[in-house]
Amino acid sequence: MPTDSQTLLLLFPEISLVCMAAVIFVGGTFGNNRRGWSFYALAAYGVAAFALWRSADAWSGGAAAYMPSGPFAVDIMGYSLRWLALATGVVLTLLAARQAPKQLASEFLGGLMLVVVGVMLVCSANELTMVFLGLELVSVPTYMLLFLGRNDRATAEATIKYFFLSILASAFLLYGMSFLYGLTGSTSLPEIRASLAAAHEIPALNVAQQPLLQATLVLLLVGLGFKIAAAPFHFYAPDVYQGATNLTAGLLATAPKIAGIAVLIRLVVAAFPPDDFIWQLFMTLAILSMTIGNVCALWQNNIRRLMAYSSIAHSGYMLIGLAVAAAANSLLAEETSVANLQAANLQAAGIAATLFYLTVYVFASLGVFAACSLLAEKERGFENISDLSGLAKSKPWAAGAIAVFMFSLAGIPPLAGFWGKLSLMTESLNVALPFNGSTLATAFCVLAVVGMLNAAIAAGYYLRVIAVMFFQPPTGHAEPSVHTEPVGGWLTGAAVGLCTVAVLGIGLAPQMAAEQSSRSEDGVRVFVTTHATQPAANLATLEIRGAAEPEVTQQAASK
Amino acid sequence: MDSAFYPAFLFVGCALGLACLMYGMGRVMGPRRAGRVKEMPYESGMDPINDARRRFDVRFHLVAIAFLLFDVELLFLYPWAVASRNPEGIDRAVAATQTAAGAMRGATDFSRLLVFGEVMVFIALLALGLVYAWRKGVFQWR
Amino acid sequence: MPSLLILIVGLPLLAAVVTAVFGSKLLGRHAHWPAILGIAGSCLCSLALIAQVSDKQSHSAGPSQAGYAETITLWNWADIGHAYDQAPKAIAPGADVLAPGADVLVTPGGMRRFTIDITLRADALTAMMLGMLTFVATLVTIYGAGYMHGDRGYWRFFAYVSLFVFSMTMLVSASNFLLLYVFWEAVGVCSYLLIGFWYEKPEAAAAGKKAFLVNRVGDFGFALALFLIWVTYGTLNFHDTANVAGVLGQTRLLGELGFVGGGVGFAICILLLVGACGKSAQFPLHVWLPDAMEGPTPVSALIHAATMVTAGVYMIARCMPLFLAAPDALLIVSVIGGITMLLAALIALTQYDLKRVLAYSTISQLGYMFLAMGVGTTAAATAGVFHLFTHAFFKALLFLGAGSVMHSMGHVIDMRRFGGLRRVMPITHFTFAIGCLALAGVFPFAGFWSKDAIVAAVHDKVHILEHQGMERHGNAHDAADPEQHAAGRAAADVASAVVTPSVTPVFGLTPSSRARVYQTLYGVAIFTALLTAFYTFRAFFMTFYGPLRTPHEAGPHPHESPRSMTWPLLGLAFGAATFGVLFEGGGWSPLFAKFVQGSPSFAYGFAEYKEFHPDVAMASTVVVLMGIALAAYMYLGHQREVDWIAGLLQFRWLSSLQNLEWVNRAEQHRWLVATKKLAGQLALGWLYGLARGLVVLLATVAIAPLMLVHNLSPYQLSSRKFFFDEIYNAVIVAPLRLLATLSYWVDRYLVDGLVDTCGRFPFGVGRFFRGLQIGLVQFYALAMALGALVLIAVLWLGAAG
Repeated sequence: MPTDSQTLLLLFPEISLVCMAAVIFVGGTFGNNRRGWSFYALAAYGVAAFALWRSADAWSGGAAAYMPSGPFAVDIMGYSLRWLALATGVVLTLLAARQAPKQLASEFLGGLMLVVVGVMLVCSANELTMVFLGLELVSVPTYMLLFLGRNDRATAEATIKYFFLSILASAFLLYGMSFLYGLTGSTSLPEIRASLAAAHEIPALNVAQQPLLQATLVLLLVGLGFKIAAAPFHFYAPDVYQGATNLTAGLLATAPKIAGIAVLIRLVVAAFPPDDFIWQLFMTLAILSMTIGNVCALWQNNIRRLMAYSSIAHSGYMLIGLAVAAAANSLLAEETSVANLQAANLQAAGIAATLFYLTVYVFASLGVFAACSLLAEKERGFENISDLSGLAKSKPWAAGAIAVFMFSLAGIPPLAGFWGKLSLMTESLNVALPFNGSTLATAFCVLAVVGMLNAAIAAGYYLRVIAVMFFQPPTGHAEPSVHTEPVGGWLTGAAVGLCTVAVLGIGLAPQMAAEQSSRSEDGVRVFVTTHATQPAANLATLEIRGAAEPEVTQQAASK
Repeated sequence: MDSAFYPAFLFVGCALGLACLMYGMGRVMGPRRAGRVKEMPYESGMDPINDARRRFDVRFHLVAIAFLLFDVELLFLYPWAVASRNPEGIDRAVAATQTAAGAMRGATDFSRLLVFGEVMVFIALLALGLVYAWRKGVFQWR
Repeated sequence: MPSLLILIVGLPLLAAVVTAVFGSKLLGRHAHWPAILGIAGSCLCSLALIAQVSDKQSHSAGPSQAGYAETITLWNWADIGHAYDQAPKAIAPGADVLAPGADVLVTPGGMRRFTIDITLRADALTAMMLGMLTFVATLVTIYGAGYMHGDRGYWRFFAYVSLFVFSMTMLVSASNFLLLYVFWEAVGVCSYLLIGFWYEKPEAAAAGKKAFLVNRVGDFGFALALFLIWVTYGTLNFHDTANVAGVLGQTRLLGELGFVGGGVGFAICILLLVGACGKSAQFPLHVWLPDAMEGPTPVSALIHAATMVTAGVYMIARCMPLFLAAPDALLIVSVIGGITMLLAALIALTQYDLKRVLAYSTISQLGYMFLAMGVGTTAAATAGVFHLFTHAFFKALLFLGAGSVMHSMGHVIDMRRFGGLRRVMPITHFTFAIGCLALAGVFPFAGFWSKDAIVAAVHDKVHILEHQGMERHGNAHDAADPEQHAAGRAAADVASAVVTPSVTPVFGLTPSSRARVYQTLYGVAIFTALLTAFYTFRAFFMTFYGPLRTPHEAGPHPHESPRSMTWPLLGLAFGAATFGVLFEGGGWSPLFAKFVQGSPSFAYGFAEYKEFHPDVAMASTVVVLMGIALAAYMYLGHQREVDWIAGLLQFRWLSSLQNLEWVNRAEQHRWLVATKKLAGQLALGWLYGLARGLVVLLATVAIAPLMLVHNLSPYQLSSRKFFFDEIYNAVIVAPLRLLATLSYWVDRYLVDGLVDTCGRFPFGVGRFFRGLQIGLVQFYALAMALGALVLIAVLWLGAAG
């Protein structure tokens, strides 16, 4: 039957959210009740979640329901990330119920909803225009939200900085996309893939397109690196986070990151031909981001600035997984078909590790910001880590939750962050081992070592926060401080609790989560299990694996 | 670098060269007689009444943005109106996917309905924007 | 059977959990109920288990050598597919018996599967231990409800005790060396917690620490033994499983696989012995037990007298087949036991702390058990286990009696500060007397039967060995005692038939030299019986006889303890008085021995030989009565004799030498005075002073060794516990402390310095990158663009070059 109606069904979560956002915007002009609109927004997310759950039938029905050529890829990665986006939206809305400006609460909530829709669209976009539109749908309301967060000069400065640099980054991205269009003559990702791969097979053409492809990739990386705050496109992050509120900083740390990683996976890892420079670029950015983020964070005393550097460092970690996937891509072309299967597995594993890490990071990071909101919900919250001293005595639950998030971010077992780091490092070593002395193997050994060293450095500043909370006596405060102010409302508490449960749950039962998710709806890890068990089937059916498709089929045909 | 790019570089070089040439010739050969009126910024043929670098009332922007929005809406509706009734458009696209004549007829009707509905949604959304702007008091000049 | 075992183990655990969770808030003063109910229920189940095991034993007509045992596996704890990839032959070169079965244990790649199942077993030994343990524990818990009444940590006490009972029941019913080890540690932890129960008291905390650390030494040996067993036998299970023959399983016991002897077998046994020495407070690891008396008295009775300290004996009994394959190790077990019992009995002679006397007597009695275990005959082994059984009752009884005394004396335990309590505390007096009689080994109390059985078994062993020696040298039998030697020969035949094939002696001792060792041990055992009777009744008379004296802490009207404390005393007294006759009754109703012999550990490979020896019994009875009489003479009569003997033993005559008063007195002598005056007149006063100083110096130098001897007088040696604590402090603790201090400084300044330097490096890098964060949006935009340009340039140049 007409694919249009099916599209409507598949996109119903997004469509419903947009409609609800419109209702919030317009309705807010009639009655601006922050609490009421917050509950309304939560209900809207609930409806979207239900619709998303129902839409699972569409792709689980098999290849028939799968639309590789349309503007949207209906696959399990998009599906999982849409769930993640929804969860982010719910947590941020819970926070906004107490934190959004009273007069413009509906604008805030509506904007937030549009950001979530943007992330969801990006996560399943299969077309350059859609990608760009989705990213802009993330960015534009973000400017507004940043500005609405607080009414002072610092916030205005942060907003302006973000606005200009984001526009610059979008320009770079768009420029890169135009190159891509110029190279392939299509905006559809599968067609781009096919075209690039075909050109890659012809040596003369490949040599000709190589420099352009490199420039394209760098341009795309500027735009997307800005979204995920990867060095050297990270400069905005510390200033903007510091100027933002806890709520908007939480938004900045998660929403663009989900979108950016999704696009990187779809556009770059899967669409670019197997060339060495791709994983080299990813690896460079990974090492730079990890190192800069971590060593700078050591010096920070402002909690949001610290989290900004932490976010930069975590982007670096995620780029490790993408580098693995890209390297597996370049292994694909060289070896036999058996090795191809292994490489396909490796690529799937690299992507899966990245997505798992992303999930874990999103919850832990959101958790930190939520807990900060819990401690100081007034306009001027607490700023410095030293303000937290003695928190374990005055507010043990809040301190415990922050400790859980910090431990997870630092990657201490058995919390979720540990499994994330473990899988990333394992995949990195899987590329390098068995060690054959090639550049690739050496590079990934180095990458794993640098990753480990960085994890050690990172533990320094995460544990410092915990040490301050648990082992330092409270400093004498004359004015109201985190100790005396009442704990934020139960909605904020629920947000913190949600994140804690997620971090603990994923940490305690990562395997169980993976198994469970192969049937249920929340799983990013689905990706791994399905790929690990039936790689051959996946080559044919799953969108994300499309890049490898032409090579494999050609090899199979030549045999 | 491949020879395929030489024409492109040639083009860039020519463009730059031409621009420099024309600008330089104008500087060298053109007469320069400055006057008050001549140095005045061109402002739609009107006399400038103040410095351009001053704060404008935010309502100017609001009205301008509202105008732009509805203007673009109109721009979007023209091509739609032309394309939606064009048999070469939707009908052929549907025909490509549906082979049986009976099915095709129903499908065509549905597609037309859908296209019409989509534009209606678009207009409805814009109308909502209008309501929003109105409720926010954008159209109230003081 | 499975449900019974699970109940026995589970009820105390449940009680511990319930008490720990609800104890502080909900239960409060009633915190003892879960423990009492749980442990009593466990006791009932244990009795039922004994009945069942006994029933099954009598009905199973299988080969007696493998005994009877039943196991249940609760769940699989660990399962490692490829655990060990060394060929087993390389580990045990002398162990040819391992070869036939080795294929079963080894997977194709030379790997072995390492599985640990949580398996419980029911056999005679386990059932006996469970019955004894839970019975004593029930009474002690009831007693504890009275004794600990009003203590701040009331619920904590019962939680710990329940936890201990759980651990101990698991220890004796575990069917796996690793599980045994785990609960070996668990009872150690409970012991630590309970010794340090009053942790505000520095002595209690220190005693807990000492017990824990000394036990670590033993546990280290035990752990090594486990490793060695694993590489030698390829499994840690006692029982057979589907494809692996257990260490003590039926397959091995029936002689198909046999046991490893030689150096490896010896090493395993010695390491096990080290573990047993730590837990059972045997020389040289006995120093922790007397200090452990800092814990509450019910704990001393339950853990440090009746049950936990016998775990070592239990372990050796359980591993008896392993020991039989290494006779030299057996000899060492006996020697250790002999040394310990004599040493501890000597120390106990002069202690004034009632509980310490009992503690040393516990060590001494454990020495008896080790002696019995080391003999290596069925009679001896069952006698050792029987002594373990009876000892649990009368020693718990004595401790609880001491606790009762302490309770009414306001926690004073120094026997010099009270006396003549028999009128004040009639029940305690009566029961304590029964305990003393049992401990001293007076006919017909329980201790008599078990101790006599041990002594008789040692006596027999001497004969067996002498006979072996004679046969070896082809000598004719000694015609003077044909009957005994006939028996000895029969026993030796059985022993050599079963045990000797796998035996390769390590020391190369001849049977006759072994016989001499056992002969000496026999003498030591008899002598220790004398000492035991003496110190037991010394304590008894000092406490309960003589004029009534009470310390002021006891208040004006000291009184008998409450009923919850006296009833358990009576119950235990019944056991101490009658269990000997009931269960052993000399040679004519050996119920206990028959029952225990059904256990696989005892059914295998022993020389079956058992006879009641009237002569041995008579000798020990006479000796015991002498001891009691001596104690009565010294402590019931005038104190003068005591003082005189004490003075003699203390070398008091030497102590007068310490006093240099004689110099002054000599100077008063008129000749010396005159000489001094004369010297003064001749202006030679300095010469006189010099001479005087020289004389004093010489005298001091001459006296110094005598002073040392004074400190080493028999009395001092006994009273200062042979200076074991001081020697350990000087030889082990002080050097270790020095090393620790040294390591601390090295770590603090050298290692930390290096680490800190490494740690500062990221900060330095961070400072550089921080400098780029100048806050100008133009710069940021520029940085992004530059970053892109640099990346493109590098890629292009890289492609070109």
